[in-house]
Amino acid sequence: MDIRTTTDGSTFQAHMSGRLSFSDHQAFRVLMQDIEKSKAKACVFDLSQLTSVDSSGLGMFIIAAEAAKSGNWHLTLKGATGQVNQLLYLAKFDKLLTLVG
Amino acid sequence: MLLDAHPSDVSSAKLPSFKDCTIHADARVLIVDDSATMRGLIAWHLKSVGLTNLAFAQDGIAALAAAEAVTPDLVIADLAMPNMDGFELCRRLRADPRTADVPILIQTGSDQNEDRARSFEVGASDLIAKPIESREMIARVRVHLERRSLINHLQEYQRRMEAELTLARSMQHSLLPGPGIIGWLKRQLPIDIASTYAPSIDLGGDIWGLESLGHSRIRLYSADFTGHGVGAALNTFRLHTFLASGAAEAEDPAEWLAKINEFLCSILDVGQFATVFAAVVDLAAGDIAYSLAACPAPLLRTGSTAPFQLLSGAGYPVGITRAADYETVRAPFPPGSMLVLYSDALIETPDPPDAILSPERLGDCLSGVLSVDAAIETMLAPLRQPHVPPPTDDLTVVALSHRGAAQ
Repeated sequence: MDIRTTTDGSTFQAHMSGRLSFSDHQAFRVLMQDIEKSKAKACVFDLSQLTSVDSSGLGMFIIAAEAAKSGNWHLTLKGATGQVNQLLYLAKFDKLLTLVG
Repeated sequence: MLLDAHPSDVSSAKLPSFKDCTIHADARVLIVDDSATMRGLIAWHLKSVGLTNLAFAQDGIAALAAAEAVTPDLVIADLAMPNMDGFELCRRLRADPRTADVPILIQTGSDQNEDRARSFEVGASDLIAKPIESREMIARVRVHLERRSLINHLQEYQRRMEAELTLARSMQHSLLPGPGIIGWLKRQLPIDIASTYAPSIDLGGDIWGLESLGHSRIRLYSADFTGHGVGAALNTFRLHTFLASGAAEAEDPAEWLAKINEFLCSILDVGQFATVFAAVVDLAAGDIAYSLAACPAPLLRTGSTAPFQLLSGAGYPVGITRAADYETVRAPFPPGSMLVLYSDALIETPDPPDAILSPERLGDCLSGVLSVDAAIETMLAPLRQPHVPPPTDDLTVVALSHRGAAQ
């Protein structure tokens, strides 16, 4: 996975591309720290360029959701398509997280 | 052979002893030189820093015999020698798996550029300038012995880890239903079962199982824990132990999943979960009850001639939230019916979106398949093509069919 982040002070955006998988745990940990440091109240994961995700990748979204709850910020997953979108709905993540098109 | 350096010129006595550093003073060093004086001089320098486990050879042929006898940790060799020179010695040592990794230090004159380049080409690890300068030689010996020692440690560690992982894979495999239980169930009930399980090289989180519930009923499940490696594999043991304890006593698949979910929510770290398929097949009544927890869509053929249908449906993975609820779905399962389960490695090789198989394509492949064994072969065949990379995760496929009237 490649990741590019932007922040405007209130919203932190993480644009992910490629495949989000088991091997991205370290990159994801760094991302979580960056979000925390930014003090943003909202974070958007832009998944529109993410081509696939495995179950570890889905687990990372759950970790982010827990971090959002404890850090009092709001997480949105945006623009998932294809296999990523299918897995999010297969695992009912639409009931656990905020998904937008 | 020239002798330009004299022991009285060198200051090796000021160097720290090898006994003081991480290198074992008993490191074996093979000194190869046709000059007895040079062999003696090099030995004197090495002994002065505590290296006393030395072997000697006067040419390449004697060196090969000595290397076989003592398995050196380091070789110091001259180039120009009778019978077999230092270049050929290097080549031979590198060609022999027992000495392919041993550091070889070659003595060359600093103005002999051609010899220096050729030495590296034939496998020398490093050069020692002639005339020998004690501190430089000792420094190079130290570097290469340290490197050798680290590599030995790493190789030993890797060997141990590989042995541990092999054992762990075997133990994990033993959690799955073996020929004994499957044979017993096939004798008791009108079923056929075939399965394949290929653990990934670094362990994975797949497990499946089946048990008789009495009265011609059988429970079949498969689960896939997030991630790879030891953590995922250990979670399969946790689930197996929980199930073996009888703590998930529930006939209904949705209730059974809810009990597993409750258990896994209490023990798994955030971000870990399992996708699960759970079913109860009633062979006398000819029906199946199943519940889905985010698993890849199983395939069901109702009767022997119908096409395979995907049992697709959303469900919470188990172990994420206690608020998860599950739904039991019922379908006919008359004689001739077949149910096929698989882990996501089957439809994620290579990584999506380039995966060869999809649930829909699997359904097409299985059309008209006659037996559970043929079903598994048919599903795996596309992944066995030479250009397809091996799956990076555990691969499990299980097929169960209804053979006909109970025996």
